[in-house]
Amino acid sequence: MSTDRTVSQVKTPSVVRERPILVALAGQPNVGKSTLFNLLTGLHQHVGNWPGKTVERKEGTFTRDGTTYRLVDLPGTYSLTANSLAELIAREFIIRERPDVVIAVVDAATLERSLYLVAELLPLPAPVVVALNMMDVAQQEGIQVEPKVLQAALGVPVVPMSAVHKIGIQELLETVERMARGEIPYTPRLPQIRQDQRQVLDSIGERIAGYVPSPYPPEWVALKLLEGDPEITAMMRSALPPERWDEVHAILRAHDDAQVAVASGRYEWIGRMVRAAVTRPRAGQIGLTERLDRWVTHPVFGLFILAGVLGLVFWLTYTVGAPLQGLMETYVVGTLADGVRSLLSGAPAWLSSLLADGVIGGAGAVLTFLPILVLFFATMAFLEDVGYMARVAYVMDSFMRLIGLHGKSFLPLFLGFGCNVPAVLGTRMIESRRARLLTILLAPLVPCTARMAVVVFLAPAFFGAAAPLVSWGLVLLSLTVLALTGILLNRILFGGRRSAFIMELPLYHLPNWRTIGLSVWQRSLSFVRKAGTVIVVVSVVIWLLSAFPGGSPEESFLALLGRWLEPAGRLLGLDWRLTVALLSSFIAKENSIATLGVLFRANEEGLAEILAATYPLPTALAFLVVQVLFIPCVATVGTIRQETASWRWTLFSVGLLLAIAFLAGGATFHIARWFGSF
Amino acid sequence: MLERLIALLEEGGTYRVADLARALDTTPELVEMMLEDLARRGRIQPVEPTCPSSPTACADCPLAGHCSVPLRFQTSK
Repeated sequence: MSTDRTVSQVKTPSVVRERPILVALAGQPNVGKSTLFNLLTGLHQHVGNWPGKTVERKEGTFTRDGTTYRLVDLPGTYSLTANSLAELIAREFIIRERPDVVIAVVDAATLERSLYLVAELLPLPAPVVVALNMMDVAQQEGIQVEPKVLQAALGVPVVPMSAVHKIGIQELLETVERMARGEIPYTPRLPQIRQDQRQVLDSIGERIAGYVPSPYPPEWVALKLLEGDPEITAMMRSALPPERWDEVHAILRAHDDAQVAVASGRYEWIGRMVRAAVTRPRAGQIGLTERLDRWVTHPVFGLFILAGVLGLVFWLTYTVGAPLQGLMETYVVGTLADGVRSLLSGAPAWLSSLLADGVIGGAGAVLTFLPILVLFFATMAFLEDVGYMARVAYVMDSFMRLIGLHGKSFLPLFLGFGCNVPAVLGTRMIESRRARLLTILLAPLVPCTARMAVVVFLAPAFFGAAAPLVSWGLVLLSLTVLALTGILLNRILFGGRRSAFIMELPLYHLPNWRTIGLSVWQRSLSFVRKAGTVIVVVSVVIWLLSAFPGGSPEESFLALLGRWLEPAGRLLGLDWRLTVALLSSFIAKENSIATLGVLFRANEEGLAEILAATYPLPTALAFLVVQVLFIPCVATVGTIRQETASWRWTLFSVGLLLAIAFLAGGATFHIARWFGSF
Repeated sequence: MLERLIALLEEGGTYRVADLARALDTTPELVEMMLEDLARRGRIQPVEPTCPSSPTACADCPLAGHCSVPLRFQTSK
């Protein structure tokens, strides 16, 4: 590129040609077309509208070495279809006015995008000169474009330039003038289409020969007919005799895939040009992301990494959170309950018990695992912020494809890790009713935050240092059951068709602590609100049912209900208290803890310790397995009813989950007891 | 090339633009263009990266505002 000759050196001509050289300036928006136009025409420009259109038309003149140029700035377009007015104007001008030269301004930094228009300009009846603009921007971005190689590949002159820096303008004008005078051989290499489509094109060409209105080039018209161009189709329908049109129309109908084939040929052509002339760098940050993603998003290793990350999250949550939870239990809930009792020492015993055992024992027990949840939310928000959660979605989808699930189902199922309600609602994005139904049925098997909260609370109490392993295993169990249920239901309900998704994975980046803090705050607040409303109400109801009519939980209505259901619970190793706790989790999953807190009057000593001392490990494990696979909360069941608009499917879902939970819980209990007997 | 991209998407699954570019031996920029082209032709649909649930359901949802997954396009069937 020359830097010593700029447009400011263009001299006023002493001799002016009789007919100015007509030059059309074509290009997509934002490639510097207007900059070049203003640079060349200066004050000698006229702005109006294209005849009969509201699209702006800019035209100007300038002279160089005695030659006058008439420059017409065509509307900025990405292609030359008839889909937009701007594109129609641009192509009609070139066909009707036959400019001496068309300057195709292309952006060297995004060459692919610019070349599509060039691919459409080349078959038109005007020679094209490519102005390879923004070479400076491309260089800054480390993109190397070889103008001579591109010129050889395109078969038309290519002039490197930078309109903003007034570089390469003289070379461009010189090339334009030589092209207009016929001094440069013009042999453009046009995009090709498949051989079978080529034959179709020839067949159409033969049938329209002699009928194409002037000045349209017949071969171009045949191509546009093949592409399904509405303007050209309408024109040829009028121009051809009816029987000839019927023949052409029949050929077009028989080859409706030709529209894609024509475009495909253009993309192949662009790919060849870019491969020949462009070299792109592999920048540092992108390189790091790609290197990490080779492992993190690998269909097999990615799953192992995901399992490892989840395990680490649980380990961290327990290691730091469990001691804090113990402190909350002793110093906050215990102290508060004692305070209420001493404050209400003169009040009726039932009132003191209601507040201390019902409200504080129930909702308070749930609130004690706020530190654990805060840590859980924080680690999840951290993973989300650094860009890993998007990879989880990607890896999970690959996993689901392996087991034959519908690809489109992954997004709502992924949402289920937070809450099953949006997971069920999220299935609205699936058009196929059968696929949507299948996803709704599977969504409650994704362990939501509330279920995990119960696991996070109970696992350390029962399993101590092995708690992270147990929690990890429970998540794995849920996903395995989901997969097996999916395969089974998929065969029955779903035909096996799969959708494709294109997703963008963000670059890995350093975490923004403010974003993470806000996320943790919002999620924790939502949890505290729930504990302060639904769980308090359920705690009071459970207390009432556990306090009346006998005064002690053992002789209460709740005990009556629990004992009635106990035979079923016994098959899973659960006593009436655990059975009732499971039932209460139907209102909200965290109620399992609140109910056990009320039933064991847990404010006097820690609930975790009481439970650990009361239940053997097979029972504990069976309870946790049933807890993660049990019917979802009432809000989710209500949403399933709303989204399926069917009580039949809602009851099927409830029955399916009950059966799965019962079978898995029973198997767990008996296998664990069998192992324990050794 | 567009035909090969369509054939690839018809197999189903989740792809990054870079995956498609590798499979088609071309640049991510060209794949972007072809995806936009297919979206204009109605062969694939853009995905709005927002929570699809209703305002009432989102009110108490701990995921509200955090449930977007960076999906860009999906096939129609």
